[in-house]
Amino acid sequence: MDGAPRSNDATTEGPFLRLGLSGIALLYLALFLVLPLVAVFVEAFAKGLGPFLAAVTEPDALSAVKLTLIVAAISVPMNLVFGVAAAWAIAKYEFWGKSFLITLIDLPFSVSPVISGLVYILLFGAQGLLGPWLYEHDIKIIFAVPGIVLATIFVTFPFIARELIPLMQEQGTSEEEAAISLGASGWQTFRRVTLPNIRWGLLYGVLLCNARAMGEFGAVSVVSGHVRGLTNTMPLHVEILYNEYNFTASFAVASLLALLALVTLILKSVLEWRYGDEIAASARH
Amino acid sequence: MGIDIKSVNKRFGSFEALRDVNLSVAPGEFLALLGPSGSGKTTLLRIIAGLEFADEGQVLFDGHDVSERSVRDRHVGFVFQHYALFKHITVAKNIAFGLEVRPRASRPSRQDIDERVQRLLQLVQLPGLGGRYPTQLSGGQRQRVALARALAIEPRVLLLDEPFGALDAKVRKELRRWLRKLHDEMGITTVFVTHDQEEALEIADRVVVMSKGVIEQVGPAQEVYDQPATPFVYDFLGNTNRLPASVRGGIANVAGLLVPAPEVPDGAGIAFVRPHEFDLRPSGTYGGIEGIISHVFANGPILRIEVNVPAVHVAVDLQVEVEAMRQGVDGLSLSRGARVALAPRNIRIFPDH
Repeated sequence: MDGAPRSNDATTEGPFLRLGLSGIALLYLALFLVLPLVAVFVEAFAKGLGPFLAAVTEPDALSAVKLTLIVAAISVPMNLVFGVAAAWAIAKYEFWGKSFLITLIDLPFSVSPVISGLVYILLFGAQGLLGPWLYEHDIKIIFAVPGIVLATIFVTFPFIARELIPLMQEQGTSEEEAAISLGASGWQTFRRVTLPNIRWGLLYGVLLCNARAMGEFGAVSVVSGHVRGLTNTMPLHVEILYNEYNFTASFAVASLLALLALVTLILKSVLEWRYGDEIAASARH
Repeated sequence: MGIDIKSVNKRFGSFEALRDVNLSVAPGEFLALLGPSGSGKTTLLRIIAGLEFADEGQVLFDGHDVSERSVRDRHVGFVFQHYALFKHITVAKNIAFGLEVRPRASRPSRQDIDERVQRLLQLVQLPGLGGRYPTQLSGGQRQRVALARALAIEPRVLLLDEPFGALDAKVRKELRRWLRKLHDEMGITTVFVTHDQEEALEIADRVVVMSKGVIEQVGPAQEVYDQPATPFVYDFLGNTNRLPASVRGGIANVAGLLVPAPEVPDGAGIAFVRPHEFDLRPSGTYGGIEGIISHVFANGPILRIEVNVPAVHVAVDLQVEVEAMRQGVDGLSLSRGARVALAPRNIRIFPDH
């Protein structure tokens, strides 16, 4: 019997179903991911390059960019140290209260960011637990940069730890044991054996953590006080401009933020492409 | 270097991993710790290395108590079951690791390290592979790299945890003989853990048989096999037939055969006979257990015969396995259903608890 070629693969569906499925997926992506992103850039440049440049070089905007970068520069390294330490402890040692610690690390993912911010108000605010003491000593946390940094750290601290824990658990401890039995100190073991084994996971964690640290809105909004030029991060600045019906400026700053996110994504893809073999090799075996 | 282990106890929670273990390893000896999984053999090896610490008891190296010393200070070469090679650095760097992490004062020069790495690559028969990464090597090659890496620090003792466990049968056999030769050339005290009795019996000077955290028997390989001290060792080492026996006044009755058993108390007992320790005789011969052949399997020069021993004073028929050389049973009818007498050349009776 001759005739039309038949599909040999049992898992291959008919052409209509295949096209239909791909179509749905692409449409979904276009509608909910690409379109909004394009809209941001279109709005930002709606009145031409001049207003865009004016909006992003305005002092308040520059100060928001600066604050955002400062917050990320403090919170990412802190979560890096914490994340590695926590993942190390959880993956390589048995101790009492371990599962509680894992739950605790997930806490920022499970509570609303607004609550995370409120926690700090309740703790450090004027009517808060430590408020009077801080006021007496003239230490400003809430409605100041330290509060923003604290809230950002709180919201972003699971990223690196969560990335590393399964990786380190899977790798086990025998390489570390081998290093120590060969005479390496704890630090040498970490630097020469553990760190190289987790570097890709660590990098992903840092990229994700950084993206969130720069983009966080809810928790930061609660503790910042929205003082223009002082405690406004980029996401907050975008909102303020938008609420003032200053759409072009608002979208201009938003496009900068989106650009940062895109750069992070591109960086990740480039690293995956450049070191794909090595990543696969270290995940294997 | 000699090792002494004195009254070592170790628990993991409610699990008793080692119970009052005493053992001496002579300098230059090649010792196997043999037992099923969960017998405590790996725990004992890790306690010797300092990767694990005993709850009670001591570990002595050449008479010096090292119980409190960390693995870093014990100067042992440890080879892990799954190699534990550092996969992000080359084979040569792996081997050099133990030398490169030394404090500057005691670290050999770059050139000395390179030379020693080359010598070790030669020793483990992997010359020219120093530039490869561990993932580019076969299992047997990786294990030899792991061995070279452990030997690079000139350890006082070599400890191997199931060193051939992850390899296929042929490579395993080659590698273990090679390891034995290497040991004979270097003379370094070596302790290795295995659950493979063939491996232990073939290459070890002495074998330590462990079960449930206790040492069941220690002795030269041949002795442990020929004269198992406990029912566990009998069962664990090689095939064996377990026959019910009843003991009265120092005489055991095994399916009608009377066997002296002077040290066994009166009551129920178990007799152990290995399949190749039966002689096949014509039915009716004095000193044999009467049975009927139920199956004959020819395996090259060896005949594996299953014999049914009809229930005399026990509830069920006994299935006895016999191994015989084909030439040794000429003149006997060995077909299915034939009656034969089984005369044990070696039989051991233990009390049945």
